[in-house]
Amino acid sequence: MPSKTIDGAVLPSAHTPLHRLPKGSRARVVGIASSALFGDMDDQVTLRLKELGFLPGAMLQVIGFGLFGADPIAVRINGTKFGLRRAEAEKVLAALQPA
Amino acid sequence: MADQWIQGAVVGLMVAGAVLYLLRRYLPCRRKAAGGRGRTRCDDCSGDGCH
Amino acid sequence: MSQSVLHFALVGNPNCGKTALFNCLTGAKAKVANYAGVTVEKRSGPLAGLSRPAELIDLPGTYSLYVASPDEQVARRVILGEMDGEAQPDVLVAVVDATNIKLGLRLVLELKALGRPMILVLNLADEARRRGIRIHAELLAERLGMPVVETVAVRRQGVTGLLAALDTLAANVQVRSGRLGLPARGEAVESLYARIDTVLAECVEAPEFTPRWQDKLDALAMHPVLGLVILAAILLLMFQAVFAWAAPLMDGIEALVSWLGEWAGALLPPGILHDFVVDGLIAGMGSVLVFLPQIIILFAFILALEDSGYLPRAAFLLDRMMRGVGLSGRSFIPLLSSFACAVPGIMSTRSIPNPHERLITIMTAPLMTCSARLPVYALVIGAFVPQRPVWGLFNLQGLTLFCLYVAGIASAALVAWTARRQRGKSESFPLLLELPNYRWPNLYHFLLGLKERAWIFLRRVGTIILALSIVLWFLATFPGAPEDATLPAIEYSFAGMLGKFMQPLFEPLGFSWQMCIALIPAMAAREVAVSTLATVYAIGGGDAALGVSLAHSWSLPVALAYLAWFVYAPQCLSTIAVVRRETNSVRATLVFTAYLFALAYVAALLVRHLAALWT
Repeated sequence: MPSKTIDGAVLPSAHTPLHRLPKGSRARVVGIASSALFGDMDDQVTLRLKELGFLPGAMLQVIGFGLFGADPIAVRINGTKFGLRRAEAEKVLAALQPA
Repeated sequence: MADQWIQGAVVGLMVAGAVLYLLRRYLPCRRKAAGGRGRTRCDDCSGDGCH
Repeated sequence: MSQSVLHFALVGNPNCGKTALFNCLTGAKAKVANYAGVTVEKRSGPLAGLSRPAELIDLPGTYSLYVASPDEQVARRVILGEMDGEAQPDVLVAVVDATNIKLGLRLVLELKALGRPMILVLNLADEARRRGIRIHAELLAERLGMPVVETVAVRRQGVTGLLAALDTLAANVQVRSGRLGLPARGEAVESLYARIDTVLAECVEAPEFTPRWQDKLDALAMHPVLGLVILAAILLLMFQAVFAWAAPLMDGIEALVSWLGEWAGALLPPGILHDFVVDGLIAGMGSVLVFLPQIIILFAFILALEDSGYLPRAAFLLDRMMRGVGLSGRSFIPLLSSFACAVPGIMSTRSIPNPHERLITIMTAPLMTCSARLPVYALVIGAFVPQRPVWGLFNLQGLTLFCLYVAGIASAALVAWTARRQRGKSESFPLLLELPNYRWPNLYHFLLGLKERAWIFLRRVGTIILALSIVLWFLATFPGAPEDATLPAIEYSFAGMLGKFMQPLFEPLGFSWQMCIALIPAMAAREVAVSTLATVYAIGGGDAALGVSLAHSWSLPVALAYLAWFVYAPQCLSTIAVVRRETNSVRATLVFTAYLFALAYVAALLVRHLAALWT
């Protein structure tokens, strides 16, 4: 699979994009990747994600999925719950924590 | 006879009042007011908050 | 010390209870003219209890000053003084949900960088305490460099303390003039959060958990399959409640109105005043007033759902499906509120960042059966559809009504889908929807909201519907029939003439001139179609109930065509005006109006001919 970059540095693929994490799992955010899906808006989306608390070190838990194609994804981070579409969830890279 | 006139006058007044009310409500909004006065914009709901 | 008015602004994330606080501080004196629960317009009111005159502005919720969706931009522009006609706030009252402190504090720090006098309000303090969150307010105030007050807005707790703190601030503020520029992002988000973490570590003890019941509820409500079932059940219940539970209340009001009509009729000597009061005033207003119970029940559901925090879950569940037709999960809330009235529904589309999705939502919102259509539907269905039970559980009338609602929704989906196919592939937009904590709707707040909605409806009846009924009565009565009249007097009236003038246009649909004339005042308020028909048929000769008159005068296919017309026609001038305002485009508005009228015409035509074939 193509490796993602954060601020130019290429990542090892041990980090999972958010939408691949199973329901109920906990993970620690590693960083936000760029994504061609958002075109020119990508920086804004990254910034927004960060503003909402998706920063390296933050603990999150995946709490649910929508019906079709596991989209959108509901996560709890810093005590707040958010629904993310698959497109933006793909940008969030996290390291799965043991249960 | 006078009775009929009074009745007619009362009704006429009410009708005129209704017409004036409607005109006042709808016509000023045709002017493009810049910004409006906060919550009493006349563009939306014609002022009454729709239901 | 000058006594010029000081401007305070309530700023904060969505769902932090700003509006409840606003109501406390202004004594609910400011008029709420739009959709409760989602503030899309700034609202202002006098702030009493300070030693100098003050004005308080309630701003739409926002997460950030830098990245802002259309609804958040209102808040940003007001804070920076960029909003025309709105004074730049002198003091910022930052409201943070005490159970969501970390997220809220980031905005607070951004605001602090603006250098304006500020105060931090920790709302929902009771909920925080209940969860075991302990906040050392004085230490926090010291670390943040601004006064900190805890409140429970829905219970009016802490408000006196807040006012005292505001007063202290007010005493030291000079009213500044000149715009405030938005400083370039001086500090990266990461470093802001690092600072927040340090402060929180010192001042807040927060166990990292949500009350178990919240999670259990979400396990059900957001379950991919069960969640949708629950949503459908809630909507069905809402629908059933509006039509079944309202019935006895409506009968009561109807009885009251006809009693009033008889009493007035007996009291007044025959003559013009008598006709005016009975056929104009009472028939006109009464026919609409009867729908008050339905409106109340509809709003009771909407308010309860909003207050409870459930609606974003529905938006979450529906997002993928709605994207399939070019809408967004966020479209759900505007579309749901369009069932009450499309105008606030369209205004709340500002929460949809994707301009395409937002435009489609605006264009399809009027297809949601608004509450003003209810009287028209109920009247025609009551007159033409027999009261037969279907499958033992539902009745045919209720089912017909349900079909009309479904027709609106299905048409909206079709229109959205067509528009999307035309548009082709476009950029993705994020959803990033916060799912707020569930809350027990506060009873006082709920009743206040209901009372307000009832009052808005009654005011609408007492003003615009009354005025239209009067004018209509006049047009339907004058000029009177000439000496050698053969037809009922009404045929010679202005209304009759106008109706007959319009009628050829609607000939293919089979509309009678009375049906045509009812369409005109319906442009101001759809319900008035009912009043108009009531007036026109009452004057036309007859004490018979309106439904009976209609049943005699119209044929079933034409009656159904009339319903179809109302499903689609953009009858409401207010809606057209707000579309123009929200899209900022005359062209879009014209397209909107034209396509809906065309749909209405075609649908009515089809229904008439299909129904004629069938019966």
